Amino acid sequence: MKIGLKRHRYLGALLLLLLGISLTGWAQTNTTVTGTVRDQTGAVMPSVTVTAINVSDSTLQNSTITNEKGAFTFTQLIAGTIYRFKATYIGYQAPVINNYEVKAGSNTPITMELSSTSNAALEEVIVVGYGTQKRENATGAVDQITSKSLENRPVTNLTQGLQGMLPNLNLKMMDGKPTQSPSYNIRGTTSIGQGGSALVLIDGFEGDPSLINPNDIETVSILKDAASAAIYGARGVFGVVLITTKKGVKGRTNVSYSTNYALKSPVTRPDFVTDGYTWAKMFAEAFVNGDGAFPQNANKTQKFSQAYLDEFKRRVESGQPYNTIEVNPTTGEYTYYGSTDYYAELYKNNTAAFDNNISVSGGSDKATFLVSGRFLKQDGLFRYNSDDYDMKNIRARGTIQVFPWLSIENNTDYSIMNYHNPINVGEGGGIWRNIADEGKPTMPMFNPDGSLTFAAAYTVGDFIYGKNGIDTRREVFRNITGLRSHFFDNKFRVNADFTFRNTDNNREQKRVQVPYSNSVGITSYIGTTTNDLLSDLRETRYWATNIYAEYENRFGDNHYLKAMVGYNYEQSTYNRTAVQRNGIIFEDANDLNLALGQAITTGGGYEQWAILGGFSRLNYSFKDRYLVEVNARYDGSSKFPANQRYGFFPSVSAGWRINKESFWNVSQKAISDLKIRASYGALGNGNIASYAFQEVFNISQSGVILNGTRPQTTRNPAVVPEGLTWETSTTTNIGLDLTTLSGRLTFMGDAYVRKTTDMFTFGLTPPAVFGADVPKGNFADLTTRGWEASLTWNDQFGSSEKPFRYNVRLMLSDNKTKIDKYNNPDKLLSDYYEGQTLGEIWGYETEGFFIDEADIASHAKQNPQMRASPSGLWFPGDIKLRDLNGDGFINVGENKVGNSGDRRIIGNSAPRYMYGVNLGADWNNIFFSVFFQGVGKQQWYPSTETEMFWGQYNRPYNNIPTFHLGNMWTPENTDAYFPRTMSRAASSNTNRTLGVAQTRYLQNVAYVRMKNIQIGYNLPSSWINRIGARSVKVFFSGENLFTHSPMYKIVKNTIDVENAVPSDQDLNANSTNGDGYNYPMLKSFSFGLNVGF
Amino acid sequence: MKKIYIGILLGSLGFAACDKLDQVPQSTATRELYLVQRMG
Repeated sequence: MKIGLKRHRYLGALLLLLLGISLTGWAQTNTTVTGTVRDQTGAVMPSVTVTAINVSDSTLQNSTITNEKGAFTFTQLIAGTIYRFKATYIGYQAPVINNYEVKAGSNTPITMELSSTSNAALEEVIVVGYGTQKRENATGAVDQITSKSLENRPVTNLTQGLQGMLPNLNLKMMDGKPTQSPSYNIRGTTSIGQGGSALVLIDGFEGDPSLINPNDIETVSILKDAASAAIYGARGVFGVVLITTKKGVKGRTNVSYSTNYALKSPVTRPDFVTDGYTWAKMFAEAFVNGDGAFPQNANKTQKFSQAYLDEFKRRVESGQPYNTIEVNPTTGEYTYYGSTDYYAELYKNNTAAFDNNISVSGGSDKATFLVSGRFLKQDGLFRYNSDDYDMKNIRARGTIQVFPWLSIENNTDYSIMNYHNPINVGEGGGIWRNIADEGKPTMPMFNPDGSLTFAAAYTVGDFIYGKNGIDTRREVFRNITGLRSHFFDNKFRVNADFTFRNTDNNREQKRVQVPYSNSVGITSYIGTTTNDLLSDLRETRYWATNIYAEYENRFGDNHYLKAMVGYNYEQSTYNRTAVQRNGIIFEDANDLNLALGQAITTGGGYEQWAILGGFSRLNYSFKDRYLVEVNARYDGSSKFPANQRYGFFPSVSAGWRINKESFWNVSQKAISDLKIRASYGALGNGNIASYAFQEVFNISQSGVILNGTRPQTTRNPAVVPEGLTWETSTTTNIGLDLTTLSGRLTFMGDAYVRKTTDMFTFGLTPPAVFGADVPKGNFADLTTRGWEASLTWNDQFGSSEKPFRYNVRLMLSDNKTKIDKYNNPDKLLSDYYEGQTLGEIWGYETEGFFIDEADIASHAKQNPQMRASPSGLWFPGDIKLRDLNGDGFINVGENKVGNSGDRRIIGNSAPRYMYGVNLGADWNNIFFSVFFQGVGKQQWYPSTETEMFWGQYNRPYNNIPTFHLGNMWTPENTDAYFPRTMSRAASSNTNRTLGVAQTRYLQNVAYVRMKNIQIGYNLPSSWINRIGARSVKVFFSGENLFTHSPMYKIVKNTIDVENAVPSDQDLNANSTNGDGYNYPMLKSFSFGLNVGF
Repeated sequence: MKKIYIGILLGSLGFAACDKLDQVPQSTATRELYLVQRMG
C-alpha cells in the first residue's frame, strides 16, 4: 500500500510539473493566422494536420487540425516572425508555404492545396530500430500501422486490436478472455528447439502490450527481416514489434474525451441437446454399443437403469412437465427427470463494457506535454461468480527544451488490471470441461429444498455458490527519461534513454468445498481435499539504458550518409513468493491468517538475466537511387555459457529506386515509384530460458521417511554437452515497392527464406548406463519460406464540396516450414523427421460405413489395429477405412515415412494464406469502415476429447451437439455423417476408429471474419461551436459480427472456428483435455462518442 | 554545459556497463553450489 501511495504522489507531481511548464511557455505576445486546406479538385479537407514552423528556429513549431470545413486557426504565432506552413494528410502530398511573415493584428488567410497525385505513401515516416526513416528510403522489410487503424475498436487490449492488421504478424487468439494476449509471431515457425517469439518494444524498451492503453498508440511497426531487426541483436532474431506512444505537440492545448459502451455476447454458444429424455435415450444407446452393457450410472452419481429410462419415456409421452424430482420413499434419494440447458445457466445473454478515455496535450516553444487516462470496465460473461475485468491506465509524457541543443523527455505510465476468474473445485479444469463431465440435461440445478444437485455443484452450481476463484492483479509502472541533443547544425545527434519498469503479477486463489445433496436432508461436498487459500506474488524489476549517437549529412547532390553507433544494457530480475494453506476457518475468509490447516505449501522463484550490446548502422544513398544499409550488433547475454556468451550479428540490405534512373521514361503519373529491395542477415537466438545451459539440481523433500526424517532428494541434472552454440536464424529477403496511378495505388511485397540452424533438440539416445536424460544439443535445422503483400488504393469522386473519399487495403501472407535436419534417421512419424512439413496430418482415407455382413467380411481386416466394439465384432454402420497399400490389413505399418501402412498425409494444421481486407469511406461528415480478417487454408482434426464435435462418440455422458441429431448412421439413415452411435469411438486410445485422423472428419477451418465495422458522423461545427467543442464524433462499432467457414456446413453453432484449440490455458497449460473447452470469442455492438476541445 | 552533459552521458555509460552477465540460478542449485557447499 505504501508503494502504491508513493507512486500516486510521484505521478501527481509529474503532472503538475508538466502542466506548469507548458503554462509558463504561453506567456508571450501572440497573433492569429487562419487558412483553409483544399484538395486539387477544390474540395475542402477536414482533419488535415497543419504545422507552422518558425524559420529562425525550426524547433519552434505549432500544429493544429482543420475542421470539417477545411479551416484552421493558429492563435499563438509570434508577430514579426517568418513562418513556414506545412499541411500533411495520409495519401496526399505535403504542400509547403514558405516565408510567410506573421504580422501583428490581421493576417492574410492562407489557402493550401493538397494533391493526391504525389507519392504520399513514400513521404510516410516509419519507425525503425533506434530511429525513424522515410518509407522511400527503406531497404528492409518493415511495415507499420498508425493509431487510425485502432480507432473506435471496443477491444480490451492492444493485441486483440492488431490481429490481421499487418501481413505476417500472426496473432492466434486462444480464447475470448479479456486478458487474452498471445505471443507475437512474425513470419511463421521460428524454432522447434528453444522456440522464440518476436521482440516487443514499447517506446524502445521491452513492455507488455496487453497492459498498454490502445488510445496511447501512435504507431505499431514490425521489423520482419534480419536486416532491419539486426540492430536488436539476438533478441530480434524472429522479428521486432515497435510500439510508439503519442507525444504532445506544440500548439494549442487539445482536450480529447472518448467513450464507448459495448454490449458483448459469445460469437458461438454451444448448441447442445437439452431435452432430458432425448439425451438419456441416446446416452443409453451409445453406452451399450461402446461400453458393452446397459449403464448403471450416468457418470459419477446419477443412478441409471432401463426402468428409469422407461419411466422417463412414460412421463414424456404422457405430457408430464420436465424438471420434476421424485424422492425414493425408502432411501430418500432424489430421482431426476430434468431438462436443463447448462450453457444458458452459465452465460448471460449479454454483458457490458464501458470504456472512457481522456487526454490533454499541447505545448509551447519550450515544452510539450501529453497526459492521458483510461478506465475500462467489462462485466463478466458468467451469470454467477462473474468474471469481471477492469483496466486503468495513466500516462504523462513531456519534453522540456533546456537549451537550444538539448531537450529532456520524460514518459511515465502506470497500468493496473484486475480479473476475476471463477474456478471449479470439482475438477481442476475450466467450467467447460466440467460441464462435459457432469452437465447432463437430466439433472436440474436445484433440489426441492433449494440445495444444489451434484451435477450443478460440479459445474455451474459452483459459480452460484460463488466462493471459488482466482483474482489476478497485474500492475506495471514504467518511467523513461530521455536526453535528446544535437550539435553541428543538427548533423550530429546524441540520444540517451534510461528506463525502469516494475511489474507485479499477483494471484490470489480461493477454493472451498461446495455442498450438494443427493438425498433428502443429507449434505455432501465436492472438493473435500481443497478448502485453501493461495497467495502467489510475482514481481519483475527491469531497467535498461540506450545511448546512441548518429551523424547525418548530405555531400553535394549525390551522396547521403547517416551513421549511428550505440550501446544498450538491460537487466531483468524476477522474484516469486507463493504460500498456500488449507483449513479456512470460515468460507468468506480471504486472508492467510484465517487458514489454519496443516497442509502448508510455500514456493519461491528467482530469475535474472542481463544483456549488453554495441550496435551500429550505416545508411548510404547515391543520387537517392542506390540505397545501402549495413547493421551490426555485438551482443552479450547472460543466458549463454561463458565461452559462448558473445555473438556478432551483421546484416546488409540494399534498394534500387529504378524510377530515379536516367533511362526511366515512364510518366510520373503512371509509375511514380518503383523500388527493388534485398537483404541478408544472420542472428543468434537469444530467446531462451535464463539457465538453459546450466546443470541445475531441483531439490525437493522426499515423501519417504528415513530414520525419522524426510530427507532432501535430487537427481542427476540434464547433461549439458561441450561445444554448445547459439541457434542461428539466417534470413534472405527480397521486396518490391510500387506506387502507381497518380499515387492512388501502392503495392508492397516481400518474399523470404528463413533458415534456423543448430536448433537445441534431443540427440541420439545414449546407452542405458548413461544415467541421465537424453542430452540436448545443436542437432536440428529447419527452413521457413514465405511471402507477404499489401495493396492499397486511395481515391475520391463526386463534387468538390462534398467528395466521396474511399480506400481499400488488401493484405495477404503465407509461410511454410520444412525440417531440414533432425535426429530421427528412421523417419518415425511419432517425431519430427527430415523433410517434414510442419503441421502435416497423417491419417487414413475413410471409405464409408460398412453396409452389411458381406461388406465386413470382404473388406481388409481392421483388427487388431482398430477396436471394433466391446465384443470385438464389426457391424453395419461402423467406419470403413481404405486399404491403401492393399495388404489386406488396415494399420500404420511401421509408422514411418515409406512404410506408413494405410496412412498418408491428409491435411495440414498450419494456417496458410492469412489475409486482411480493410475498406474505408467518408462523405459529408459520415464515415464508414469495415475490416475482414481470415485464413485461406487450414485443416483441423478434432482431438478425441472434443465434446463439441464428438459428443457421445467420446464419453457417453457428454453433451450431444444438435448437429448429431439425424446425422448418425442407422439402418434407415445410411447417408449420415457420423457412424452408428458408440461411446469411446473417439478416444485417446490409438485403436479407436474416430480417434485416428481420417479424411471424413477432417475439418476445413479456413474462415473469414468481419472483425470490425464502423459507421459514424462528425457533427458540423455550427452545432458543436455552441458547446465550445472543436470536434464531436458519434459512431457505432461492431466487433466479430459475421463469420463464415466451410466447417460450419457440418458443425453448426457449436464450435467457433477461431476457438477450436486446446482448453483454457490459464487453468490447464499444455492441456490435452480437448479442443473448444474455452472462454468464447465475443462479438460486440458498441456506441461511442469522441469530443475534442 | 556541453562538457557536463557529455560527462553525464559517459558516466552513465560506465554505470550501465557493469558486467552482470555471470548469472547463476538461485531458486535451484547448480552442480557447483550443491556438490561443493553441501557435500564439502
